Amino acid sequence: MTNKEVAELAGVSSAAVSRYLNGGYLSAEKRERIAAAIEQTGYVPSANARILRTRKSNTVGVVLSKTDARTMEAVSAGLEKYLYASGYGTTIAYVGDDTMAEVTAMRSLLERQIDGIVLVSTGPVPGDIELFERARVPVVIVGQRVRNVNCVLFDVRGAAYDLATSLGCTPQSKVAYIDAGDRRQSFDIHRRRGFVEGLAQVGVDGGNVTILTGGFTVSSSYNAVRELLAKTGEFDYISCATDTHAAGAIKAIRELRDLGQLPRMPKVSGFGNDPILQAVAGPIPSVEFDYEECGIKAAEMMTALIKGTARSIMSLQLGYRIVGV
Amino acid sequence: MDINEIARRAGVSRATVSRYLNNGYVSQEKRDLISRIIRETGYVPSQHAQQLRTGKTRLVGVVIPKINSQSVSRMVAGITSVLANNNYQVVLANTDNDERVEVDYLNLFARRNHVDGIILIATQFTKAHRTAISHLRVPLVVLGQRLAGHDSVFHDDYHAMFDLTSLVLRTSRMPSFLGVLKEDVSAGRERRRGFLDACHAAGITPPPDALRVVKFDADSGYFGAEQILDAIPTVDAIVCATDDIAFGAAMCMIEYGKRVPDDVQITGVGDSLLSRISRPSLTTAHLPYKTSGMEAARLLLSRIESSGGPVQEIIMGYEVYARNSIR
Repeated sequence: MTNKEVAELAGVSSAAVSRYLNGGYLSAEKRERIAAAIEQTGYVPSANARILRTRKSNTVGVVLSKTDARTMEAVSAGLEKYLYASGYGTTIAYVGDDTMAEVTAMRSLLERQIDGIVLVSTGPVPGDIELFERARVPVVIVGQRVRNVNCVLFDVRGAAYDLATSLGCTPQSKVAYIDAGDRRQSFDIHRRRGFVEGLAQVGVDGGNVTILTGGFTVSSSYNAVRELLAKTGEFDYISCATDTHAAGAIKAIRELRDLGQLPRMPKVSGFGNDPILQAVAGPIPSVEFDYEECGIKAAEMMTALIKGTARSIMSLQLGYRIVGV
Repeated sequence: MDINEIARRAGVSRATVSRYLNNGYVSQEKRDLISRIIRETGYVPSQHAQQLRTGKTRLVGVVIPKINSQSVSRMVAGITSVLANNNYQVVLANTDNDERVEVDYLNLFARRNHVDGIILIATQFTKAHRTAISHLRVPLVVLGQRLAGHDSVFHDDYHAMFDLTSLVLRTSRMPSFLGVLKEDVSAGRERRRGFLDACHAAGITPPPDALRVVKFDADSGYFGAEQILDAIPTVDAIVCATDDIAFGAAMCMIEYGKRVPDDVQITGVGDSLLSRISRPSLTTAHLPYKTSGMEAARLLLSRIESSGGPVQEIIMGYEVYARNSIR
C-alpha cells in the first residue's frame, strides 16, 4: 500500500494525501475521505512520510505581516536570538499587508517540515481561524490576542491611556488624535480607546478632541494634519498613533509655521519611540516598547510548546515605558 | 561536618567549597569532586550562613485569601512545585479574605531580608494595597487578578463566561446570573461582563432582577437562586460565577420542583472535583489554576534573578466543559 493507492481509493491527488499526513491545508471533505481510506486499508505511511510527520526539523516558521519594518526587525531579532541559542533555525515569510498572502504563507509553511509557526501581525488574523486549529504544529501569534492561541502582545491600550494622562493636558486643551482609522486593526482600536479614555481621565472635554484619519504613510498623515490646521490652527496637542503619523504631523506644522500661518504651536506626541524620529524631531512624548523582548518571549513560548512543556494556552501582555514627558 | 571538612576531603580550598555552594565559578573537575564528597557525607549547608553571604533568604512569601478553596490550593501547588525545584521555600500567609490582613502581610514581607519575592493571590485592591505594594523592595507577582503596571498572571474570566453563557443561550431565552462583588475584578466584574455581552450578542437583555450578587458559597447560591425564581418564575437558566454558587442554585431548583437541565440550565466556573460527580454533573469552565501558579512562580524567579525588562501580564487560557446541567 502506498500513498498513491490511498490517493486513488480516496479519489484525491497523492499531494493531498501527503498534505494530510504532514498537517498541511486540506478541505474538510477530502480530509474525511482520506481518513476513511487510511482506516480502511490500514495504511502505514512510508519511512519518509513518517520522518516528515514525527521527526523534529528544529525549524520554526515565522510569518511577518501587517507590521511596520522597525517592529518586524526587532521582533525577529529577538525571535532568532532565542531560537538559535536553543538549537532552532527559522524559515521566514514576509507577506506585507495582504491577508490572503498570510494564509498562503501559513499553509505553505504547514506543508513543510517545521516544528511551529510564529505569526507576527497586528492586522486581522486570517478569517480561517480553523487553520490554527488544524495546524498540527504549535502556533504563537505576536501583536494581538486571539482566543485559544498562544499570544505575545503589548498593552497598547494602557500605553495610550498613560500617555494621554501624562501629556500635561488641561480641561481646556484642544487635542487632535490622528491614526490610520483602520477598524480591522485591533491595535488601532485599542490605542484609540486608551487615548480617549486617558483624556477623559484628566478632564479634557470631549468636544475639544478631534479624531483625524491619517492613512498609513508619512505623506497621508502630512496631508491630513495640514488640512486640519489650515482650517483651524488652534490646537494644543497633536497626538499620533504611530511615529509615522508623527513625522507627517511635524512636517506639516513646520511648514505652516514657516509660512506664518500657525497662530499656536501644537505639541506633537508619537507612539513607539522611533530613535530616528527622536533624532530628527527632538525628544517628543512617546511610548517605548521592548520589541526584542517580545520576540524573545514568543520564542520561549514556542520552544516550550514544541517540547511539550507548556501546559496551557496563554497570552503574555508586555508593558511599556512613557518617554519624553 | 562543616565546610572545612568538605574542603579537606575534596582536596580543595575552603573558598572553593564556598564558591561551589553559592553558585560562584568552580572548574568542572573541582565541581565534580566537591559534589561527590557532599553526596557521600550528606552535608547540608547552613541556610543562615548562605543568607549572610548572598543576601538571599531563598524564601518566597505567598499571600492567599483563604485556605479552604480548591482554586487557591491548586495555585499554591503550582507555585510550590516550581519553587521547590529551584531550591526556594514557601511561606504561606492566609488572610481569610480580610484585606487589612493582606496589607499587613505585604508590609511585613516588605521589610528587608524577610523574603526574596512575593506572590499575592488577591481578590481586590484597595488604596492601602497599592501603598503597601509601592513600598515593596522585593519583586511581586500578582496571581488571579490583573494589577496594571505590575507583573501578573490571571485567567481569561471574561471569555470563559462569554462562552459558557453562549452555550446556555442556544436553548434559553430567560437567563439569569449569580455573580460576586464587582470589587473582585476577575471573578466579579469580568465574569459579569462576559455574561452580559454574550446575552447582548444573542439579542437578549436580562431584566435587572435577573442579576444578583452573592457570596462565594453554596448557601449564598441557594438564596440567590430563590430570589431569582421569586422575581422571575419563568427563568430558564442560572449562570453562576463559581461552581459552589452553582451547586447551591441547583439544590434550590430541585427543592422547588424544577428539573435541571430540562426546566432550568445551570453552569458554574472552576471545574471543581464535585462538578464532575454531582448529579447532574455541572457544566463549567476549567481555569488552569495549577499552571497559573507555576507561571507566576517562574515569572517571580526570573525577577529575583534579574530586575528590569517590561512588565509582564500572563493571561491563561481556559476550556469549557459541557456536562449534564445544560440541555
